[in-house]
Amino acid sequence: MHERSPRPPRACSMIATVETTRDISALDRRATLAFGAALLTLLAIGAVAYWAIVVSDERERAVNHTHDVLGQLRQLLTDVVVSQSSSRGFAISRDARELAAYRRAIPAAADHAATVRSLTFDNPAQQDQLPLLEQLLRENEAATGTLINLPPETEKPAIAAALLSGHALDTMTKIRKLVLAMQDEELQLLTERNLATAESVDSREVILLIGTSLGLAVIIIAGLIVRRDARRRRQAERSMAESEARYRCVLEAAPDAMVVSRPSGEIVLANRQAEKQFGYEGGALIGLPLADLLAEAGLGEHGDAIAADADGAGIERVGRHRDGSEFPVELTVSHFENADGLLLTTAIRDITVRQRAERQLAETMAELKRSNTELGQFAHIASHDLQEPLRMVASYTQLLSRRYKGKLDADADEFIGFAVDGAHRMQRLIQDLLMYSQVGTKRNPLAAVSSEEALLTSLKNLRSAIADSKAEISHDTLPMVLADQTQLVQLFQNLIGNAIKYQSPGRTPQIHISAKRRNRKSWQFSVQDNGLGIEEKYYSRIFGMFQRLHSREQFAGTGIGLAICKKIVEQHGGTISVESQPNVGSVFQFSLSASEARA
Amino acid sequence: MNMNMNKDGPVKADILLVEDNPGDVRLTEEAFRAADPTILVHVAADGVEAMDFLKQDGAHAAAPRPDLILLDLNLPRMGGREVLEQIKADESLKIIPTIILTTSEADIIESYRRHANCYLTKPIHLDEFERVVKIIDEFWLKTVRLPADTDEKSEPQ
Repeated sequence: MHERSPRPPRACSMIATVETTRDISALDRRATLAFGAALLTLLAIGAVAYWAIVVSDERERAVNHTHDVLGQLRQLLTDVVVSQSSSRGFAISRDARELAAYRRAIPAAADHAATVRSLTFDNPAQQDQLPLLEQLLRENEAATGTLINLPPETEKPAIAAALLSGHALDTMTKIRKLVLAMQDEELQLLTERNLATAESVDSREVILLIGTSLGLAVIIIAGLIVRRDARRRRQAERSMAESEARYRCVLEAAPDAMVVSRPSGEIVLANRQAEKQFGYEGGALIGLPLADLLAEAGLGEHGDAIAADADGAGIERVGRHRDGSEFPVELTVSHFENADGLLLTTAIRDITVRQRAERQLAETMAELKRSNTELGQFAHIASHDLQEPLRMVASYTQLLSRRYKGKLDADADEFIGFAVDGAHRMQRLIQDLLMYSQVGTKRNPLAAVSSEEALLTSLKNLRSAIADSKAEISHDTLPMVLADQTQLVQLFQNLIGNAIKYQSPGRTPQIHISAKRRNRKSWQFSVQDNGLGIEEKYYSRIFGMFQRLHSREQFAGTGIGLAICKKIVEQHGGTISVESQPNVGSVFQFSLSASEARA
Repeated sequence: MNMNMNKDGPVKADILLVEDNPGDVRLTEEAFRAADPTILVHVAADGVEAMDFLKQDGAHAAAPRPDLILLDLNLPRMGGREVLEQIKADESLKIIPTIILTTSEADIIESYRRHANCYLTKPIHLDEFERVVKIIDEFWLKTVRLPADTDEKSEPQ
């Protein structure tokens, strides 16, 4: 059975493995997604955190900046105070240390003012104040400078007057007021900035908090998913391992060599039996072309081991062992598809023993046929060649009896009588044997013949016996059958001849021949008589060779007639049987193939 | 007319029986005697002797030309088929009716193909055999007109 039509790949245990593989790739995908999500969340959190740090840095810088400005302003005020007190001290005491302090304080104040200017370059409000501050500093320098520059010979009242003029003190008061205002302004700015950053920092903290929670959640979920997937993966791997083990078991337990190969012929899997059968070890078959296992004579026209679509069983090829020896194999090929694509499973059975047995059987059959033929020929030749000398014996004993009867004594007549009778009996026997052997050896091909015509021919051959017995013979319309005409005539002749012969004395033989359809393919013929009948225990015996139910004195005969009938019917593929009632009659029935099968 | 005599008087017909089995020869002779005592049966035991007889060679230099040939097929030295072929290839001999009388049933078509004039099988039973011989006598010797009755018999070519 070689079906060539493309077939859906068969379900097989490897499918489980395929699905497991798919499961694992799905698991991988989910785990990757979970980790990706966690990573993205963490990145977002990191960005937000970084931003928060940047913001907080800015805020600190702003605070530091404010503190710087405030410090500068405070120092500026201190320097102004120092310049006032040291100028007054010098005016009174003329102490050089006072003068030195004064000389340090004046530029220091200016320096601080310059520093403040540079620190507050981005604050127009402060910048607007700075010219006034610088103006006041210059006024301070002028007012205090007056005290410093008093001539040393100045009288104490004049000094007192100068000290009390209040001009310097006024300036001092103005500067203090301005510095305080500027400090206020700076503090105000700091407060504003703090407020603004605090707001944004607050919202960022919320974002950070949410983000962190979210990240945690994602990570936890991802962790759970990964855990679950890992469990599933372990299960899948286990079931894959189990299914592979099962498949392996099936493969290894198989009594035949099993080889799984790609359509290209490359072997991907082979069981131990395959290795053993072809003489390979330890997986050495894997990767080899399947064609390596077969003799070249058996390969397809392109040198491939098996046609890609050669699904089927009973493909006979010649296998090739690794050592080069060849042996007959029978392949059973089936296809299936898995993740790797189309695969062929080939069961390779070593049929050396079977083929030997088949060959032996064929030889025995041929021998049997030959010996049967020889036997048939022998029987034919023997009986034919026996006939020649027997013809001499019979003819001359007959001549003797005819010419010398009554001329010799009574004993001689009796002896000659027995010789003639024996010779005649032997002649009949040989003729019947010859006919029996001819049923086997002289066979014409079966053809559509009229059984009615055959019957009429046999009646013509029997005409003297019919006339002598005054038998009444009737028949129905008989059908066309598949038969050898000569043998069919012989069959009717023997059966009707028997019916006439085995008749009760004084009764007119009545014989009826009929046929009825037995089934689609065959006819059942009946030859019915009103003769002696046969006891049931002899039903099967009468069809044997040399089987006689009556003494020779009662009925002449060789006991071969019905054996010939049986052989003829069996040669035609039919059966013959008898049913009978002693002293009432017998019905011989036989079947023959119809010339045309009826629907 | 042949001038040979047998014990029953003048011979009316000469028959050449080509037969190696003496039993059959005697039986045939007996049967012809029973049918018509005026028939003279000459016997050749094999094909070579038969051709010598017909060509009046050697020991058979004085042999008469037969009116009828009865030929068995299974013969020593030269088989009946070859004898038949030689007879039918000979301008003078081929006009002699040649009857195949044998036990074989396998050579019928082959014999007619070689121009046998008729083919008979030896019946098993004596009565039947005698009947066949009688029929041969009745038909071939008493009913048909033979070439011997015409002038052609004396005309060798």
